[in-house]
Amino acid sequence: MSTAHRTPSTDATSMRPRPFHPRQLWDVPRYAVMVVITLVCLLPIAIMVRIAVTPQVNWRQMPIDWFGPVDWSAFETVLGGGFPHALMNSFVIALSTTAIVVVLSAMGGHALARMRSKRKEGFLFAVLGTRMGPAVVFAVPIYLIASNLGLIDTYLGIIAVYIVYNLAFGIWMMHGFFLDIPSEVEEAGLVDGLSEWGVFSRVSLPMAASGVIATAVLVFVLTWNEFFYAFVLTQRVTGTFPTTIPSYFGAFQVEWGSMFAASTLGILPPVIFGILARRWLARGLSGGLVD
Amino acid sequence: MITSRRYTIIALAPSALIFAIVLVFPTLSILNLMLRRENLARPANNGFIGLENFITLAQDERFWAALGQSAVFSLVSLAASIPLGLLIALLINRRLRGTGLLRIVLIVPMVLAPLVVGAVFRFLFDSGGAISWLFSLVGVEAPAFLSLPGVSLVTVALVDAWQWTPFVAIVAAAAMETLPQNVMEAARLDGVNAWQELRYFVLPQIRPLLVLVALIRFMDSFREFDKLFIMTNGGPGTSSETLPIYLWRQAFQYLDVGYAAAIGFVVLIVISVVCTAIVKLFRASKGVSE
Repeated sequence: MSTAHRTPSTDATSMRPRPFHPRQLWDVPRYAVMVVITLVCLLPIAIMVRIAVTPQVNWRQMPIDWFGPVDWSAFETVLGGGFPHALMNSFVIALSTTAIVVVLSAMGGHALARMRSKRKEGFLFAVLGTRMGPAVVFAVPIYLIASNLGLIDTYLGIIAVYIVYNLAFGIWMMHGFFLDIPSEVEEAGLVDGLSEWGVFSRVSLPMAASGVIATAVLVFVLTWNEFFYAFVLTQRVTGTFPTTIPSYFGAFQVEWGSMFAASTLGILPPVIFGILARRWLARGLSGGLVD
Repeated sequence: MITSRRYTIIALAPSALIFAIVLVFPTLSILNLMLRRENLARPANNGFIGLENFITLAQDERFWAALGQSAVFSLVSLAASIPLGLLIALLINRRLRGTGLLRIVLIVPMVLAPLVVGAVFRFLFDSGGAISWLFSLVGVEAPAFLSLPGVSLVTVALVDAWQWTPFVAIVAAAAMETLPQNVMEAARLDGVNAWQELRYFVLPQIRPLLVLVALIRFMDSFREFDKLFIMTNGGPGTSSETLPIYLWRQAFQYLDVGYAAAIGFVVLIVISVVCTAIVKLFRASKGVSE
């Protein structure tokens, strides 16, 4: 949480009190705009959480009664059913995917960053190309192959797909982070008697630590939130949290309370993770383009 | 450090192997399937049919409609999120008190599961929901956002823009931070307004990055499935059916995987053509960087 305090305090020092100037009146509409942006971003989530603890008869009551009685029965229903298992699956699948992708993309990214070959750029674009391919296009053959191999609804199947889904971007990102490390530092490591692997693990990797975190945060959030592959490739045993959401949409009515209770629990890990690691997340989402 | 060939090969081997197995096979499988009649519901007629799937596709009105709806979806999502994101970025960079907090707020929409975003906004846009209530406050009768043809597609595209405008804002703000601040300060003291600042100072300098943001936004919106699936499921009728939704229907509801593979091939072509065009723009404007 220390980072949360840093930004306002540096702001404060750069804004030493100065004599009032009419131009500062412009700050008033700016603050108004900031408040509006905050409301637009957060109100939908607040409504979701409020409905999750509202009894069914009051779901459609407008305006929303923010301070009405709290009813935990939707959370009890959700936690008493199959949802905790789905949440557990999400953790197992997202964490394993993240660990494997980070290791592989650090290795591959470093090798590519130190490679001097005309073919490198071609390889990098091919790698990024795999990321462009919409899940829905590749889901057809992947589904057929997975069902031939008996990998439908297995952890191995879905984790393997997620590794490929994220590895390309991971390599691309780590490649960028390793390029930032001056070659001289690594050469000094070689002179001191380290092997290439020694340089990689003891010199380059620690220097690219923020890149590793950026990659890990991004892969975790994307895997956690992924729906389509999970929808197609998993069922009861390995279904992740998003796959439970459609089941609350019945033919005649929607179980808004239970669905929003499940959603509230399901968005917590990426929201907490994303806010704590927001500096790295921005870096990750832009593919390492911004610091 | 100049690495040995052996190091490069060993370090890249696991990734290359994974790509080879889990990527080359599906790609070959698409190329194979799209040339076959492959209907899992009626396996008796399956077999090689050459380009027949593509001939059917060319005459398939639902396919052309889906292509158009995909284009509208991406266009609305980009046209809303990029300008808005830029304006928010300018605001963040004003270094007012509270912008640190605003940066945290902006993280929230981006890290939500798109499916959950869709579900929440379906609740909000439903008839009698919070948004029609807001309309009634100003005395306007709200349209039936999710059950009017045309309107539902644009509504979902705007929800997509809601989720990703913060992404544009945060990336653009980071790019703006690298611009020389004293020049901006001087310009502001000379009475340059926000629009002039954006048009003549900021935009030209962050253009390469902006093109890349547009690229990422296009790829993401063109393949968007989750929000459409949960909010309209392509409806009413097929009026909000984009290519990913149509492909999914063909493959997993009608079980016509050969035809679905042909659609998938077209999707890949469209994405690479548009991306190549955007990258060309990027190259032309790259100049200083790298």
